[in-house]
Amino acid sequence: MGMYTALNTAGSGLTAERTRLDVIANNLANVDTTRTPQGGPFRRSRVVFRPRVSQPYWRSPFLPKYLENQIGKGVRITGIQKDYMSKTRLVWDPTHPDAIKTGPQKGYVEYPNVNVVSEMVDMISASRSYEANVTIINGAKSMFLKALDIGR
Amino acid sequence: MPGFYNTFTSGVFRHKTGPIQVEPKYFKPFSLQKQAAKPGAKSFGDVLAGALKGVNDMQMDAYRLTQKFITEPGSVDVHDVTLGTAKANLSLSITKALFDRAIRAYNEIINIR
Amino acid sequence: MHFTPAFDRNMTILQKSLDVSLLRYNVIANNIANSETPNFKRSVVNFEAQLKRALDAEKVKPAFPGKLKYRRGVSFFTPKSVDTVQPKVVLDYLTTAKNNGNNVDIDEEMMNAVSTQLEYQTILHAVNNEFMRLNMVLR
Repeated sequence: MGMYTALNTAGSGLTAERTRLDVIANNLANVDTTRTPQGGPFRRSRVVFRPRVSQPYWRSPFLPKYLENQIGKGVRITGIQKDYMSKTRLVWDPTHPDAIKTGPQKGYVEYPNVNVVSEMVDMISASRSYEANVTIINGAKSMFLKALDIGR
Repeated sequence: MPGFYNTFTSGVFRHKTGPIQVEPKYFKPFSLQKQAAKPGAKSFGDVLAGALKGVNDMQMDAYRLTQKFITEPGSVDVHDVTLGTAKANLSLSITKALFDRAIRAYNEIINIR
Repeated sequence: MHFTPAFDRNMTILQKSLDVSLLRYNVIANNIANSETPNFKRSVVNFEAQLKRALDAEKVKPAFPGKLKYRRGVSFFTPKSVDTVQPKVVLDYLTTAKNNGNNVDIDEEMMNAVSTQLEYQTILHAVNNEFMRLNMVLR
């Protein structure tokens, strides 16, 4: 633990939240995209967060999980996944150029599986986390500036 | 250095592990006797030398902390460095004030008319 | 400095508290950065209660003299000394968690961050006061 730990941690949080916001923005922009170059409608993406912890050389296998008291180093994004699990929206519109031609769903258009409301909620929580990390950075900076005034 | 002197005596010689200790039958005049020092007591020179060594150690510690702060940025905190340097400065100024007072007192005592 | 014992003792306590305050701020920063990761549990730092116990232990004399020991020579009254008190980072897995397994309340963590920052700056103020007192005498 030293001087830059708090700044690095909050910085990693800022990066992660900004990336999440970008992904959400992409999802919202493509809410009505019925055809992508790969074929099929646009699928929403989502971000996978993992805590960033310094790896010890050796972990005792008998140590319970709650006794490992490592101070974390922030968060990192291990990947951006496309969500193929949620169902796409089906809208009846036979005159649409992207309507399904054959099969039981003839005449339906597949719209992306982006739920605008939940994306907006995610966006709000991402921006709140972003502001909280910015508060941490400002606080750490003022703490260190005050510490430099000792003995002056 | 304090020590025991073998004064003329008809007393009893007792050989111990230290210097030869004598129990005289009569006391020599005060001016010919060295005062026996209490064990563990330090002379004024020792106290001053110890204080200077302490001050030097604190300054070396402060410098080492600053060096560690520069070469390994994550290991030392800001307040460690500033506190170390402030303590070193403070001990130096305390020692300087002590020396000044001691020298002034010595001069005053010497110049008593 | 062996000719300023009160200053030394106050400085050890204050310096320890400064270190612990910074550690707490780092832990809170980690909690806030991980406020959206699933299955993350927040951590807290315990130090003040231990320090209080150590400081109180110095005022009270033990009922028995400290020489009593068990048969193997282990004494059963080991008073805590101020120098050996260490902070402990503890995982808080008892708070209720949100749907994604994360139990970080971001408003509470922000408030803790602000109060820790103020605590750090107050201890710095006390440290400055110690130095200023000695400097005043030396003028």
